[in-house]
Amino acid sequence: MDMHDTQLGSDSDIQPHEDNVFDDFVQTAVHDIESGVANVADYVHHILDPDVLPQITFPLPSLGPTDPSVVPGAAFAPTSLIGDPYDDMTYWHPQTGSNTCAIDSQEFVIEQLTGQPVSEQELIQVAEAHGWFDPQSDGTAMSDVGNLLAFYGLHVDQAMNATIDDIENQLAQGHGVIVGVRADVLWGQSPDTPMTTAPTIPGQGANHAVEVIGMDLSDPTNPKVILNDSGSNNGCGETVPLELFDNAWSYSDNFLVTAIA
Amino acid sequence: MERMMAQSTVAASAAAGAGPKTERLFDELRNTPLFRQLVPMEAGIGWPIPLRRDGRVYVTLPLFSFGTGASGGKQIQLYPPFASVTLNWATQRPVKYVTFRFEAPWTLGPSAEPVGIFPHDAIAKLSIGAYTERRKELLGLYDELCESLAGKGAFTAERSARFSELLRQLIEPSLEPFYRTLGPKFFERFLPAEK
Repeated sequence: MDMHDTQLGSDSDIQPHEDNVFDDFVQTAVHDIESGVANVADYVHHILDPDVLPQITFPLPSLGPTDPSVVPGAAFAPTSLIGDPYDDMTYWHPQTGSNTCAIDSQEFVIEQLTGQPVSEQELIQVAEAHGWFDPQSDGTAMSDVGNLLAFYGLHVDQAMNATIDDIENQLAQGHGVIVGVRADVLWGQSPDTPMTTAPTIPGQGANHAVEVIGMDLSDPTNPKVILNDSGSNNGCGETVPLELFDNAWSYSDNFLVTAIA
Repeated sequence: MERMMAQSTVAASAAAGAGPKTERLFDELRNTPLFRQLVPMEAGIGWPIPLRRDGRVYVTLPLFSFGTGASGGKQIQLYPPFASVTLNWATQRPVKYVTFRFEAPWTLGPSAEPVGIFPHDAIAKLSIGAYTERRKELLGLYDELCESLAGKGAFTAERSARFSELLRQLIEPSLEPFYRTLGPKFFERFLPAEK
């Protein structure tokens, strides 16, 4: 049914839409509201109808995907999204230190779960004071990933050989999730990429930490993992295919850190 | 989920069984409890320095820090090695770990300054694929060298020449002086100093 034929004003007049392109929907809503055919409350009530909502595609701001097959604005139907990536993305920033990925991943989780703003510099100072970060070796030992979370009052668990189901379960419960990955695999370095533009030294194994903030299961044939990756300029809500993520994650023996407020 | 193990055993990596033994060593070393407890995840593992002692073959692996260049053209900076780990080649079990802040073969300041960039000139024009192929070939030659040191097969002059050629191309010039300090005999044999 053409959107323009939709008669609003009472629930019985609202018909299911066959074409739910978001832009058309917005334009029609604006037209109807401005012309007095319907009011805002009508549209809000209509859009929240459980028969209507899953049919509507909401475009998203660009997530800076590393996977070119990911189209910005992909649908995140409520039942197919695990986690709260929209909110978690607001805490992302690129790392200022060369090897502060684990610091920053913990920073994101601390802010998300405690509501307490902290800075990368503050966390570096705390980590250095406790021996969890060495400015000379510049980085965080795997066993120390999570110590900052505990320092700021979170309940922390570390595990090896974790599974995707484990990640999904933790995200579904609103817990913080950090994993170890091999950076050059995660960032999908093509063999044809010139060495001069390689973002990291190839072949160095699991050498990076990222926060997992969501799972996009809207396309069952192409599930995706949503990350806050401080090591990439496009790392805010970085979306990668599950298979690629799983491969990059495997190099750390599927190292997983979870945090609960 | 399995909890992190405390025993000092070598965990099998996801890449176990694929590629040269020396190449697998990089991943397997990262998954040892020793590495996970003492070495930053972000650290780089340098070129192995084989040695033979009391009839056994060992490899010393320098550990160095490097700055990850995020997309946007940032150069990857290399820092002096801050530690090394020596493994028994046959069993791949760590036998020695040295932090250079404690035993200082060279001076490390309170915070290290970069000593060079990656990629260096000899590999800058390669693609990642070409670099990876050469790296894999060199690590395979390391296997042959270590097997030869263990008395299992010969490391022919031809293989030795190819080993030297690849090592010269791939070794980071800014880190080479540090590696030479850690393994003078190895480097004198395979990368003799130009006179």
